[in-house]
This record gives sequence, C-alpha cells and structure tokens, in this order.
Amino acid sequence: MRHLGADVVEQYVMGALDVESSRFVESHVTQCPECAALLQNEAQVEVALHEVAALKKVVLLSSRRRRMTALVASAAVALAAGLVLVVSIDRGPSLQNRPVLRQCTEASTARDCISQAQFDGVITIGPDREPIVPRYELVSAQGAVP
Amino acid sequence: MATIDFALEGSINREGPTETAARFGDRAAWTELIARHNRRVMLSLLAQGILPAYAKEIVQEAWLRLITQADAKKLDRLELPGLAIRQAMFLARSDARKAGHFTVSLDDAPEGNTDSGEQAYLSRERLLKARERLNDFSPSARAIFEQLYGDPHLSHAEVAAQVGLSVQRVRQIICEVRKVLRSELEGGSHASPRR
Repeated sequence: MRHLGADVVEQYVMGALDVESSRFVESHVTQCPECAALLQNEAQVEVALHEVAALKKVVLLSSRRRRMTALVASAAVALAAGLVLVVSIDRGPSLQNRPVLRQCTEASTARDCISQAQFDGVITIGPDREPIVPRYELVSAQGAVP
Repeated sequence: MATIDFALEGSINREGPTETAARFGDRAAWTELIARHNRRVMLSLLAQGILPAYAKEIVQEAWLRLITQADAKKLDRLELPGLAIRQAMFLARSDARKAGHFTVSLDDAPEGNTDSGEQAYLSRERLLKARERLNDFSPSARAIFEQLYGDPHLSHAEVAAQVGLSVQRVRQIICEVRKVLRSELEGGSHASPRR
C-alpha cells in the first residue's frame, strides 16, 4: 500500500484539501497505521500552533497586568513618600531620629500623650496595650489634629 | 511531539456576545460557533490518535450535548473552544473505556491540567520558544499566522482576501512558518526563515 505524503497529511490537518482528497485521507488512515500515526503527529503540531498563537495573548495579558501592578505600586510608594514628606515638613525635625513606637500606657497622661504621638506620626501603645496607628488624613493644613 | 499537550487549552477563552446568545438558546449563534470552532475540536481528537471518521461523530455528539445543556440552563458560562474540547475528550475517553475503539489508548491522555509540572514546564518552554521564533518572520507572515491560528481564526481564503494575496501564496507562507515552528516545538533547530 502506498503511504500518504507528509505534505498531503499536513494539508489535511490545515484544512487545505478539497472534499474528495480529504475523504481519501480519512479512508486511507483507517487501513494504514503508519499514516494514522503521521496524521496524529501533524494534528499535534497543529494544536500546538494554536497554543503558540494563544500564548501571545496570555503573555500580553500578563505583561499588561504587570505594568498595572507596577503603576499601582509606584503610585502607592509616591503617596506614602508624599505623606512622609508632609509630616516631615509640618513637624520640622527629621523623622530619622524619632522613635517609631511611643508608650502612652499611663492612664493619667494617656490622652495628651496619644494626641502628641498622633501629631508626631508615630505608632502609639495606649493604656489598653493596643497599638494606635497615626491617622495622617486627619492632619489639617496647620498641622493640628482635630 | 509527545510533550505537547493540552495544558493551555481554553486558557484564554472568554464568553463573548455570540456565546452568551447561544447559551440562551439562539440557534443561529450556535451555528456560527460550531462553524468557528469545529475544526479546532476535531484537531484535538486527531491529536489523540482518534481516526477522523470516528472523531467527527464524537465532535457532533459533543456539540449536541453542549446545546442540550444550554437548553436545560445547566451552563453558567460558554467558553469556546475549551469547553467543546473538554466535552469531546470526555466522550472519547468514555467510549474508549467501554469499547476500545481507538488505535491509541486515551487512558494516558490528560483529563484536564493533570500533567506533571515538569512536562507542563517543558511544553510551555517549547511553546514560548516557538513564539519567539515567530519574530524571525516578516510582519506579513506573522499576521497571516495570527489570523490562521489566532482567535477567531480565519480560513485560508478569508486570510488571502484580507492580505491581498492568493490562497496558494498564503498556504506557501504558512507552510514555511509551520516548518520552522514545528522544528522548535519538537525541540530541534532550524535555519532562519527567509524574510
């Protein structure tokens, strides 16, 4: 039995054969295991090529997502830097030498201590031992805590 | 080609307006979707060693089942061709277990994304390399490839009409692209394509 040419099988999986030739290929592979294996191999290539084409979109989607993430991260860093700058300018002294945590556990002085800590922009431990995070958005233009 | 599998199948499928219309019972939408994706579903079965005549039967049955499921409001989403391929593979596997119709056993075929991590990595690596090789071709050859293999993929005649070339020339170009990418997918090397 004469085997199918590789180019014929390739054209079959690409959908490039006419109806009659396609039927011939389909009929032939039912009786010829070698050509059936060739057909399977060509179909695998064809499926893989569809995946290659799809890959571009996946990669593009990923890179677009990465760019968006980087943009959001940059915006967050810029915002945080801006807040630090505002606090730094408003408070005068450098932030570098400031303690980042202030104990305000003494009940009698806690209110003033916490108020000052908020103003200074440091995390405070209150009388109940719970941390209080500075609320930067409450800092007014004059630098006072309402 | 043994390591090229279906790990990425359906990975970028989205439900578009035609799919939504089909899901809500629009028969014309189903006709359009079947015409668009039938060959792709068929190829997946052929790639598993199923003979064409039987593959055609399975593909028809797969579409019928999807339509029936949609009519019964059992489909939350209709993402094609991924869903049709999975349905066809399920039917093929089910039949293979019952009767052993095929020349190649489907028992080893991945049910979904169940292949080993290493195999998936190798497959993806090869696909990525093939993708890179595509950049060696001229923009027009790349465009022809995208139109023939992308989503939605067009027929050779449709692509020929779009790019203003003869069908014969489009086939020559795509055969050249296919030859190079095939070599990359099989892990070999190939001379650079003519630009």
